[in-house]
Amino acid sequence: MNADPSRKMLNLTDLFAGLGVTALCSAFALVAYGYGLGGLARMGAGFFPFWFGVLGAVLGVVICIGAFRGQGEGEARIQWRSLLFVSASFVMFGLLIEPVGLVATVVVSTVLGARADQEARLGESALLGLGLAAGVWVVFVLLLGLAIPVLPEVL
Amino acid sequence: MKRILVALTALPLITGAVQAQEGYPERPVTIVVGFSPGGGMDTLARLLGERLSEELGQEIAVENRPGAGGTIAAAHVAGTEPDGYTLYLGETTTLIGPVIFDDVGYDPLESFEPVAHLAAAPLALVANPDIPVDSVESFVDLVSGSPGEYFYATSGVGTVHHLAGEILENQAGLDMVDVPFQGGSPSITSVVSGEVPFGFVSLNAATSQAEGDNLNIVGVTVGERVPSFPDIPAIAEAVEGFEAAPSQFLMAPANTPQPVLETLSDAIGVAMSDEELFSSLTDRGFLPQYIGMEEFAAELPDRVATWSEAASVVGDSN
Amino acid sequence: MDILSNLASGMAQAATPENLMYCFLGVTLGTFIGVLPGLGAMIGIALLLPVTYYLDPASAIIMLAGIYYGGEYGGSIAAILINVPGTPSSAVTSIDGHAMTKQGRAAVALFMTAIASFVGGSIGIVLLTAFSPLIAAFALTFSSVDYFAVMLLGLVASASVARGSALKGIVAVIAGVLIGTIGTDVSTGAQRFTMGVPELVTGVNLVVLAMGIFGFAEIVASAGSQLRRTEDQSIRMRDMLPDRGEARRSVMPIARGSSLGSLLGALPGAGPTLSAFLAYSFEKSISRNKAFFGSGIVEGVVSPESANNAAAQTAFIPTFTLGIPGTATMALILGALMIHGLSPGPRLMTDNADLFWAVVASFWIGNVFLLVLNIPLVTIWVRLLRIPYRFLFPAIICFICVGVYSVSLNPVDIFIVLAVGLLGYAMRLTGFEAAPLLMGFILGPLMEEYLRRALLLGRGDFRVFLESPISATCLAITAAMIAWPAIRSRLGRRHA
Repeated sequence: MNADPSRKMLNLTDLFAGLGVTALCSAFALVAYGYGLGGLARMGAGFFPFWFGVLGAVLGVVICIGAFRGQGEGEARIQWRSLLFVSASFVMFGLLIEPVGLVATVVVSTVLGARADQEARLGESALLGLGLAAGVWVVFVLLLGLAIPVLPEVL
Repeated sequence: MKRILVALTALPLITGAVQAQEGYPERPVTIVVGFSPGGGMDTLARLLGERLSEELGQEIAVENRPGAGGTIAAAHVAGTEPDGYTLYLGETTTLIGPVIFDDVGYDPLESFEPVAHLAAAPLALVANPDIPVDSVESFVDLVSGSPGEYFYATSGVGTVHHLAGEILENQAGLDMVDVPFQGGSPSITSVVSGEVPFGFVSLNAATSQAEGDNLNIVGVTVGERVPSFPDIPAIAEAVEGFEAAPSQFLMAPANTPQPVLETLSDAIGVAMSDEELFSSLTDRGFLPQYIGMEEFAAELPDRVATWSEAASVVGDSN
Repeated sequence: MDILSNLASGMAQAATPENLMYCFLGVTLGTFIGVLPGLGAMIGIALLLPVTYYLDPASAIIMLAGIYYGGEYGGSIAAILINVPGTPSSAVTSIDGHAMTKQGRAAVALFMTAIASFVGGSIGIVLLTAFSPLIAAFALTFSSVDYFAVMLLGLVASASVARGSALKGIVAVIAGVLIGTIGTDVSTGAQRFTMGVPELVTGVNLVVLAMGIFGFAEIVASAGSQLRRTEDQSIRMRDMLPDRGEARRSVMPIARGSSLGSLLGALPGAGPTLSAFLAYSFEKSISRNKAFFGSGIVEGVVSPESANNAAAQTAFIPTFTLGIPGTATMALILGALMIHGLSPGPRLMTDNADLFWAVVASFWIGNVFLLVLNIPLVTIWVRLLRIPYRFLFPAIICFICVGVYSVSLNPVDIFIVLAVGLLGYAMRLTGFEAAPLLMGFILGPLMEEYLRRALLLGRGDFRVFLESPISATCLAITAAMIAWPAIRSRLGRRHA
């Protein structure tokens, strides 16, 4: 609709999106088929996900077809730096929280996450991490009384 | 404001500290319940937990993980650290889970250490008030006249509520269709609203709804009448030998240290002898029956065998 | 008149200094818990339940209920300011609310949210006060067939909430439904799509999903991006007020949203969330400014907010009149009643009339508290945005991680957030929206359960869906919603 009708070109983003949707939904439908569809009066475990998977797969194909008509938004740009550091921040939190406790984990994942912004400075984000660790400790452990490990197990 | 809150949360810790024994428990203990909040099992967990926390000097948290007749919660607890901080409030369904479901992810005897048997809970067969049924006999007459026509609501596939129905069908020669709900609350709602004519629900839920004339209680599923409700007939009075009452017990993951189990079992023994707890359990339709750890462990294999046999009959008819 | 005298005596009981304090404590705590991503009213109530053992029943319920509806208020604040909804029911508010923030108008969005929430909550309370038994009876007439039809309507409506292509909105809903089927099937016990991960046996947690598709994706897209300019917020009191046109355009959406929310809130299930989506979608479809929905229009904020707060009040109706909890949060409140020795059931309202009216009266007081609490707070919340985003986003990451971890104390949940987050980011890049996915996720499993039961009771005959008037009406509206864009575009072409 937004696109100029005279400039019909392939929309790569939509093509990939459509293919991805079709692949994922087909996978769901295929696995669901294995759970048994059952009858209408006694639906099997696979009935509902199978039909939704099939519907999704069909709509994925429709999106692909639309991509060739040059509809939809423009190309998407992946923010690699941000994706990498934010993901790493989550991974470190998941890995560290039980062995080293809240304080160290929050500092590490804050410093790592902050790198997503190019302007981040190490000292600044370490300070932020310490502040956050203190804040989280007050809210979640002290006030709400949640059983989150605070310091490393060995201590 | 904050200071008040902190003071309040600290209260249970202070009162408990007096009786606290060395070592276990050092932090709050969680009892995992396999049914949605508000139902009979949930009430039992909360009432027991409240009394038990006084005994243990620690808070007892109740965690609801409903679904698949409580087996999801059982598998969850079986997989937790065997340190006595996560306990499972099991009932009969836990024992037959492996027979009813394909793969429950635990074994009732191997994956757990029994802690204590707590109570039996009679179920009630209830009917929507518009259904012309006023006794067990008239129920049997009505249903046997139209095989396959009548539905009954249960708390889920393979739950004791469902099994009670199947066993009754077999013993009384009836043919009915079970309608699974997710837990007791929606199941009883469907009978009150009339969407489903009959249902097997916990006696405590049934009596509170019957007080408001929202449904009629046809009978209870234990061998004889429940002392606190002498007016409600036992189904066994009309269907000889019928008995299908679930029982409730507390379990810990396998390999929980023996001293921890003993502390728990003894504390539960003391808690269960409390008259206030006893009467509030009876008020809610439970028949309190404390059986200590060792005795209960000895009779558990028999219970598993008996119920599994009943369940395998169900497995065939489905 | 009876009602008025009951209410007056309830008010006298609720307005004791002690109960006022617990009410204030409840709503304040609820607001803050609602603001923090990953924490919901459910967790707040569960954590405070033991505290209430030491209070008298009325104070306990007043405080717990305050946390609940206070949480509904607070959830929208995070949705508007940082595009990470604090509660699922405020997910749809983030669409226009955050767009307003990007235009430097966060204060207006927050102010209007406070007003809409207050009006919605008040209308919900009026209905709760006057028509509880009637509404409860209405809720009881809903059979599985009707529930299925309402859920289907909700699903189709949530697809239309999407800003861009309706097709992608539908696909997002389907993706949500499919993610919702992960875990153990409640009706058969079969484990579906768990891929051998034990944490998936109970399904994907709602908080985990919301934090992944909203939180993670939002942070990745905004961190380090030069486009991110939310710092220029005006915080003068005067700039909080909407302009005259906006105020006028808000009146009817608030009225409609409140009515819709009041009705749907009484239904067990997904009351507040479902009504927020339906209200937004309804306003969008009838509005003359349809094209501006999603670009920061005030109607897009007030309609879902009035609806979810009205629903949060009427959600108490089945709990109080029938003793049957509609949601897990309500069940916790009911559990609190039981611990205080009250037996929940159809006679709760008559046997414990004092308590009932005191609690209803406290709802009025609580909503007034929320209003006076929230309007001055607007400037403080907005000031938060003046913190440069490079400091703000690591803090959001931290709160999401701790919040999600605190739900079940299992680090695997953090990795599930990451996995869902990557999906969410991919969706964002390709023009799919997160809000419809969330709705599919919530409604999908319920819909499956009701469909299965409806067909079981109807012996596999699809005609049961047409025999019930409620169901038939909902299905007709659903069909019209699907057909409408096609009809309109054809009409449009004829005009052109």
